[in-house]
Parts: sequence; structure tokens; C-alpha cells
Amino acid sequence: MRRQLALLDYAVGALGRRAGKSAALGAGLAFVVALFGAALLLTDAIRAEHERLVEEMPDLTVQRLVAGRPALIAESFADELRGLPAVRAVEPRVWGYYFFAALEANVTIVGTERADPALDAALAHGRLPREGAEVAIGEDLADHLGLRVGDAMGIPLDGDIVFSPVVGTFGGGSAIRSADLVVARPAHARRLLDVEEGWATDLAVDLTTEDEARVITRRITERLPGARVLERRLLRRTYELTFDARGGLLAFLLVPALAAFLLLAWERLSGLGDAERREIGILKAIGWATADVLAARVYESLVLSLTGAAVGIALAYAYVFWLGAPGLWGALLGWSNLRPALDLAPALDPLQALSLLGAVVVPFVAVGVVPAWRAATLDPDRAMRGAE
Amino acid sequence: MTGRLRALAIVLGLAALLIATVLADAARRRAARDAEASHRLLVRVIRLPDLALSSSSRWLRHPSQAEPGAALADLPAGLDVDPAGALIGPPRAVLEAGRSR
Amino acid sequence: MSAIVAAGLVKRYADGARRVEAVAGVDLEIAAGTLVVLEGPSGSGKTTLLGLLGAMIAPTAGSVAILGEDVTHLRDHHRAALRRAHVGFVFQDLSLIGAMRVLENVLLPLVPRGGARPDERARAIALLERFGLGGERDARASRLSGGQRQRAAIARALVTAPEILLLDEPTAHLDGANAGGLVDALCALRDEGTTIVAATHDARLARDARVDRALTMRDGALVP
Repeated sequence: MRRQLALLDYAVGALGRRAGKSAALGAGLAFVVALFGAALLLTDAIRAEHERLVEEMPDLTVQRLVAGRPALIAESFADELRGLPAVRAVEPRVWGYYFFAALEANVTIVGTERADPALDAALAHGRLPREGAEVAIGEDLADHLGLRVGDAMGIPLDGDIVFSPVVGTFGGGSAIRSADLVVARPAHARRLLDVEEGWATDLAVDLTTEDEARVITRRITERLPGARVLERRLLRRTYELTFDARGGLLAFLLVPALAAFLLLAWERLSGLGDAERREIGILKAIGWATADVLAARVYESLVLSLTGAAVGIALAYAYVFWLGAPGLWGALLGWSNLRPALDLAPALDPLQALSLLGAVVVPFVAVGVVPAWRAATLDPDRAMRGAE
Repeated sequence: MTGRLRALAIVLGLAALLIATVLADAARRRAARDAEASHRLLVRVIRLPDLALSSSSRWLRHPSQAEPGAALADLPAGLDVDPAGALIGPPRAVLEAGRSR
Repeated sequence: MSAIVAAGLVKRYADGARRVEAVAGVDLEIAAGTLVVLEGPSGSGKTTLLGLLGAMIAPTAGSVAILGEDVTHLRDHHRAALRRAHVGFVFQDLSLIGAMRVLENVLLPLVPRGGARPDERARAIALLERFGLGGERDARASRLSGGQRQRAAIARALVTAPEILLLDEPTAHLDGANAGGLVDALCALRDEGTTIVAATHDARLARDARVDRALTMRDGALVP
């Protein structure tokens, strides 16, 4: 222990003697970790946010594909499904996209029968639509259109304009899901989306037990060729997989980060300058064993990378969750005109922080030890003379 | 303990404090999120799981509901017009489910 | 008793495609408590022989025993431990770490032992004072003059109280007066029981009357 402390003390002294280089290395490491960490924290938060409320989804969502595109599904099919065992409820849903030319943005129109006053707490202001053409809309959309509860929202339709009283706005904590929402009664949603009576966008199926999902899915596809059934079990994994499937942006961020890290690593691998090599030779000559030299070197790398990585993680966290990831979040939103603020719960837990630290520290230490080991196993006088 | 080791302990302590602060903040935000009822109620009303990350590309708005190949429906093998498409790909698991039929 | 016994020592280096025989068969026995000077021109293999005698370099062939222990086939950490315990080394290029303080440099050999205990620290300070560096102990080593560095290096070699002290060109950076002072210091150490081997091409040192034994080296071998 005393020996380790003495070696640690020496290592800190060595870092201090090369203060400029150490600081540059530490700062570079922090920057790379911050860059990489920001992308990681953001995608993890999105994933977690998605998974957090998946349990509120229907067990099965039944769509119909025609010519490979989603088409409307007959409501009568819902009755057929109700006859299947383990099916608790089937709800034909009417929802879809409406391109708001004035905003140059798609809004999501969702028709729902649900108007239970208990659900009104979902809104930031007002209530859910109860009748006629009433709508509740997302706060971001409302802001863009300059609307408030009590105003009427003009929706261009077939050369005409349909006026819908805004009875509520979604916002606050749910903005990330509700920014572009227009929630209406089903009949009104049908009119806006041009979905005829007797047809639905999809069918939401609730089962008595989720375990039956696979069996029911098979039964459904037998009855309705061309049906596409989304199981909740799969929804839970959707984001996990979608982010793996591409991650182009992540890769884009990763390239400079990786380049920077490799540069740092290269610096460590080859950067055992003459001075450092000579120093190792001196230490060996005055009685340090190879293990002592390496231990000091490991401590050096450990202190540097731990500090750098910790600062990097904190920077990434501050950037994403305190500053709202300016730039990165914008890239994620793309050309969208409705841009909800980044309001996600961090998924970062101690285990993840630890593995992130480990992922940085372990290779960094390893990369730093290799050249030191090469120098330390040379005969000390050769290391000192700089001979290889 | 030498002055150097004391300095090191301070630096490492600060680093640990930094991480602890971040973790505490994360836990606090998660708890606040879970306590936030409006979000869950909203999802209960609309029963759609996806985040409103894109208002420009329809298939990016509800990737979990989008049909297989939605991104490439109009221009097979085309590059995504929307940069967000680089991050949110077509839902593979859901896509698998669609393919088997 | 002999402090160092070397038999049939050979050390070859690969210098590019060429192989250089720096030490070509040396048999040598150095009695404990003597001051031995190893004289020879540059490139005659003095430094390498010194390294071999101090268990700093592993020989290509032959054997070395230090204080009765055969070190020829010892593993690296055992050799290091032996050097640490029994051998002090002073280098030709004065290997002090320039950015470190003089006292830190002197205490460096003690780090793998767990750092300097108070008595060791006191000993190091006493050594610095003995070599006239009492006032420089907190100066950076790079600011010392050649002679001061030489003396600091000797102080460092002595901080572990070794039985054997090996010096390479100890007078290279010294003028006549200083060189004389150095020989005085070495003799004093010898009289305290330390075995000293100094390699040099400085005839002043080799001819000094107080030297117990002067050896001459040419082309990697001792001249009889």
C-alpha cells in the first residue's frame, strides 16, 4: 500500500512535470468523451422515453397493407376479431397525417371517443373534445398558429376552411409527444382525414393476456390476408432496433470522435518521447523494477483518463440535458417546422456511467502501458541511450 | 500524505462529485418524469407510442407504426431527404413481423 | 571477500546488420572495500562492462556474481531488487530528471520501497550537504551546474546505502579542483567500506595514488 502510494505520488508528479501535455491530453479526452457521450445520452434517453409508456399501447395493432402500403381496414373486421378467444376489446382507430400547407408541416390527427374528465389532466389547458368539431391540439402547434383555448382553428379542406374550436392544449411534460397533435372526435377526424364511415386506419386490440399475442396474431393473419399485426412486445423493441439499424447521425458524430481518440491513442503509443524513454531508463538503472515503472505509468494514465472521462461525461450531460443539445437536437429534428424542446428524462444510471468510464479508461490505460512496457523491458542503459 | 497526493485526492474527489451530481440530477429528472401524470394520460388517450421528432417526414413521425420500407417507398435505395432519417431507421422488428406474412 | 566476480563476460549488441562486441570476454574479481578505476578510451566497452558488473545489463555469455549471489540468470525484478539493495549507479550523462527538484531526484530510488521514511529523508539531506548541495536541494535539477549534477547523482546513488558504487566518467564534467575533490569524496566512501568501481578515460583519476587498483580496457577486453 505504501509502495503503491509512493508510486502514485511519483505518477502525479510526472503528470505535473508534463503539465501542458497532460492538460492537452486530458482536455482532448474529455472532448471526445463529451462528443460521443452526448450522442449516447440522447439516443438512450429517446429509447427510454419510448419504452417507458409502451405498456399503455394496445397489445396488438392490426393494419392492412395493399400494394405494400398501409390502407384503410374495414370496421366490420373488428367484429370478427371480437369473436376470437382472449380478445378483450377491439377499437377501430381513425388517425393519420394532415399536411398543414401554411406551416409546411405534417400534423398528426387522432380521433378518439375518450372524453372521460379524468383524462383531462393530460392537457395543459382546457379539456378533451367532447362533441362536434372540437379539437385539442399540441402547444407547439397552437403557438405556431397563434391559437389559444377558445379560439377556432381553421383547417383548409377541399378548397374550403373547416373551423374547429380549440377546447384544450397539450403541453408541458408531454410536449415531446404532443407537439404536432390534433385530437378530435372520431367523426371529425374522419372528415379531416377523408376516412369514410365503416373504415378505420387500424384496429387496436387488447387481450386478456399478452402471452396469447403470438397465437392471436396468427389467427388474425389467417382471417385477413394482407394484415400486418404489430405486437406490443415488438413495439417495446422497436426503438432499440431502429437506432441500431441506422445510427447514421451517430456514426457521423462518431467519426471525428473516433479520429480524435485514435489520435490520442497514437500519441500515447508512439509519443514516448526521448525524455520519457530516458526517464524510464533512469528509473530502471536506479533500481526500479519493470513492474514499478509500469505501475507508475498505469497510475498516470488512470488519473488522466478518469478525470478526463468524468469531465467529458459531465459535459455531455450538461450539453444534452441542461442546454438541450443545441445542434444535435436540431439535427435529429431535421427539417421539421414543429420543434418540441428537448424534454427527456436521462436514462443515465450508475451502471451506465461506470461502463462508460470503463470504456474510456481501460483502452486508454492499455494504450499508455504498451510503449512504457517496451521501454522498461529494454536494458536500462539502452533505454537511456534511446537505442531501440 | 504528500501535497501532491492531497491534490490528487481533491481532483479525483471533484471528478467523483461531478459524476455524482450528474447521476443525482438524472435520477431526479427520471423521478419527476415518472411523477408527471399528463404524459401517461396523453398516451392513454391517443394510444400511439412515438415521439413527435419529425413533422417533415411522415414515416419518421410514427416509426413504430410505419409500413415496411416506408423510408424508401417513393425512391427505393434513395438517400433520406431528412437528416433525422439518418438516426431513426425503419423499424426492423416491426418490419420483420410484416415480412413473414 | 569479493564484492563482484565476473567470469567470461561477453556482451554483443546488434547495431543494424552489424554485431558489435562491446565486451569480449572479461574475467574480473573486485575485492570488497576497494576503489578500482577502469581506464580506457571511448568506445572500449567500459560503460557496458560497468552495466554488466552492476546487474543492469544481462550478459550475452559469462556470469556475474554480486556479493556472492549469481545474478546472471536472475529475472528482471530480482535484478532490480538486487540493484536497489546493494548497488548505486552514477551515469556518464548524469541522469538526473531535469524537471524534478534535486532532493526528489535523490529520493527517487526509494519510491518503489514505499517512499522515503523520515530517517531516509534525513540521510538524503545529509548526503546533499556532504556533497555541498545543501542549499540546492529544492532547486530543479536542470539548473545545477555540471559538477553539482555529478555530486547530486552520487548522492542519489548513495541514498540506499549500497555496498557497491559504480561510476561512469565521474570527472567528465569537472575541472581539476573539482575532480580532486571528487577523488577525496570517493576515498572517504571507500574508507567507510564501500566498494567503488569508476570507469574513466581521465588519466588524472587512474593515476591517483589513492586508487587501489587501475585496470585498462581496450576493444572490450582488459589489458593485462
